[in-house]
Amino acid sequence: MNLDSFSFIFVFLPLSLGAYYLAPPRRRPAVVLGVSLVFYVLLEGRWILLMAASLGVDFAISRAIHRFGPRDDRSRRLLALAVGKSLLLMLGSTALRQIYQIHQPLGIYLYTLSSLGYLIDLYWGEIDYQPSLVNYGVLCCFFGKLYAGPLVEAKEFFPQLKDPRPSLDQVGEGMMIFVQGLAKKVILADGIISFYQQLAALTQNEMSVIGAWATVFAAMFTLYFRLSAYCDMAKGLGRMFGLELPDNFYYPIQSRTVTDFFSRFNMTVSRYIRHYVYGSLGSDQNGGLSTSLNVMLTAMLMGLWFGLGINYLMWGVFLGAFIVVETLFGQRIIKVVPPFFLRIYTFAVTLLSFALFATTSLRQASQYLQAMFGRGGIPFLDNEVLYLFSTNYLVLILCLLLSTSLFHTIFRFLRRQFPSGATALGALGNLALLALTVALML
Amino acid sequence: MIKRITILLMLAVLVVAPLGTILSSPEGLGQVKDLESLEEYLQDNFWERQPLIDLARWFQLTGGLVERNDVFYSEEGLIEDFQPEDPYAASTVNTREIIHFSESNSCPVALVLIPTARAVKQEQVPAFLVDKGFNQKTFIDDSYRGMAGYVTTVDAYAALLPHRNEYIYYRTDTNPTAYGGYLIYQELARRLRFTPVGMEELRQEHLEHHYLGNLYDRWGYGGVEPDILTAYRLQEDVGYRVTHRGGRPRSYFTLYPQYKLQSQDPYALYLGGISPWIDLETSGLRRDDSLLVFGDRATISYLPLLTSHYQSITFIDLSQITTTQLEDLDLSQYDQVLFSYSVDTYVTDDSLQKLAVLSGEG
Repeated sequence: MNLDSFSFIFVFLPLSLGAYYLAPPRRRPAVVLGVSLVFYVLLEGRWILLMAASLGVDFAISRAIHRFGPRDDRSRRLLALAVGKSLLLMLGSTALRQIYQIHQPLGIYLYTLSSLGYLIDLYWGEIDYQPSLVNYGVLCCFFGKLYAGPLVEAKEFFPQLKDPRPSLDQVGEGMMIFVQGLAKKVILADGIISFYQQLAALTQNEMSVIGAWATVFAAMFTLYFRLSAYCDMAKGLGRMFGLELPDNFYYPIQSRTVTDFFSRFNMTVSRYIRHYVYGSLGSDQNGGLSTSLNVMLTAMLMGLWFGLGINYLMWGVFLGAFIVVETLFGQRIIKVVPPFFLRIYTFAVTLLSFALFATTSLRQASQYLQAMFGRGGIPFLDNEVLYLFSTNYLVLILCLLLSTSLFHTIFRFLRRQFPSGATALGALGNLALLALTVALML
Repeated sequence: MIKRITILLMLAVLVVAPLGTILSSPEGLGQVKDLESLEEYLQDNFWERQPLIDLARWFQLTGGLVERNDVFYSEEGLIEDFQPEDPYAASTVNTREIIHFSESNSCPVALVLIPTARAVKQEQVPAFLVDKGFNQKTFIDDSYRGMAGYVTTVDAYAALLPHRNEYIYYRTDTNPTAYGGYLIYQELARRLRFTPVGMEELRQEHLEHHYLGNLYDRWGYGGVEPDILTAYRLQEDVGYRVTHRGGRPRSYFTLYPQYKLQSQDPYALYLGGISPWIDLETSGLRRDDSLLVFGDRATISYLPLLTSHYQSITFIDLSQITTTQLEDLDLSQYDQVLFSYSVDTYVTDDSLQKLAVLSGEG
């Protein structure tokens, strides 16, 4: 049972919503936690014990930090223990998955970092202690966000749990955001994944210049639409359960600079790293070299978020290098170049970066980059690639259009000029989207 | 107001859809034991499933989809995109065994390699892919060249190609149709030097008009006209006995037991289905020749026609038969041996290794 399965949408979700709205408001966080734990057990079985143990340790540490006080030596030692335990859990599970193909439990990064962020804020005195195990559990384990985020901050999250009474409008908005996320996953993400897999299966002899560009393009959109779809579904589910989750993506494809790209792509992870790592290292307060190193470290961590691989690390390094150049030397140029050209520059750089991201080795990445620039005498176009374009053109067009804010802008304009018409159009559109998405899931 | 209505409609869908599913297929609910079976139940019985499938098909076809799960779609029908990973791994073994069989037995041996629709009905294959991938014609020619002098080869490809725009392959199944089988039979007759029964001497009966074959579910989006299952019957009064050995033993006194159309596999209309060993006895013909056929499901498309020329035919499916059962075969009682395989079986299934038993090497 996944978020995009029939058993979730038509059985688990209605039952969970029913239980939530039948419960008294002050009991609703407990219902959300219960639903989240049931969801986790159904998907991950005994791995819930690992989650319970990890979060149990962290909750105990939070009580101790609260008792000893912020910035106390004992609190610092406990925090170090929590950090060490969390790093071991995340890196260890990733290493075991990559090397030994051992299952990595769902959401291990998300619940671990959510909890760790809360402990760090508690140590620095930036947040009040949360005595309720239920509320703490909802922060870390809310089922909607375990797939791909967003990574939530405790200080924004806890106040929502005091007396949750979502209105019908909020529930409706949540449903529509969920449906849009589901459609993004089923129609766009699954479609572009299929296109990418077919391209990636082409042998070296079948590779062409356009094929190489298309592969990298598809890799980028695969990652973007898959992650953003799950984040949209999480946000929609959150709203249905009276929780406001932050956005995690904001049209990163139309960024004006690489720095801008990182502030729009996997935003909550980027913000987390900047707050807890970049900020701790002094951010940009200690001169150019220090800033450069901090930026590179942050970018590398953004890459390693996706896995412990040289390709992810180099992806981060590649983009980090551009951020350093933009930060230290590029500000004057950025101010004078028209946004259109800046967007082309950023799109080209991020597209090239995915030649690193999408491959499993630097050698393979080098082969793709050479193919993209026609090295090695490969043909410009191939019948196989033409066939793949002809059978996936609609998904490609939709991916291009929907990765921009074009439809959002048009709909906003329509809502201003024709409020009722726009509402009706939006309503019909969401119903049609639901029907089409369910149809494609069959 | 409109927004509120939409919200209520969406909430209603969340409740009505699963209820509608359960009410329309309550019996399936008893099979639900876990999440996986629940998911399967909901998918297979979803409320208003057919209109949604039609919607999905419209969207996918508008988006350019022509292939799904290695099945090409066109309005004329479905074609499997057969692309073996290594076409020579199994076929080399099979060819070697056939040659060895031919050398160690005095009975004349013939071979038919039946191309799949991918090779013959090329107008239904996307233009960019016609010349791509595994070339069945080249493979058949190379295989026949390698067996020259050992077996009589039958060029089914040449027999089928001129009729590619006719109904020679099923629209929803990988097999040749009864008419496609007739064309293969004609070519086989020419090579084995007997006179085929003319079409005018056969009574054509369409016994099933809504057959959906093994490609239909793989494609998954419907929108394909069902197939017709046809029987070709001799005009004269002939008696048959079809005996299945191995598997589930049974006998029929007709080549086309029509009650099989109501079973899970309507294609079992032909000879009652495929078993490891089938004996076909014909009475009322002035012939006493016997034929041994090693074949697959594609062979069934024309096997009934051969009963006009042989008093007894033994059909062996080497992929199902055990070596113990094979040891019961007495090669001395046959006048002719025929190997008949679809190309996709021949390059993926090396069951012909079991022939070694008959040469005393198993």
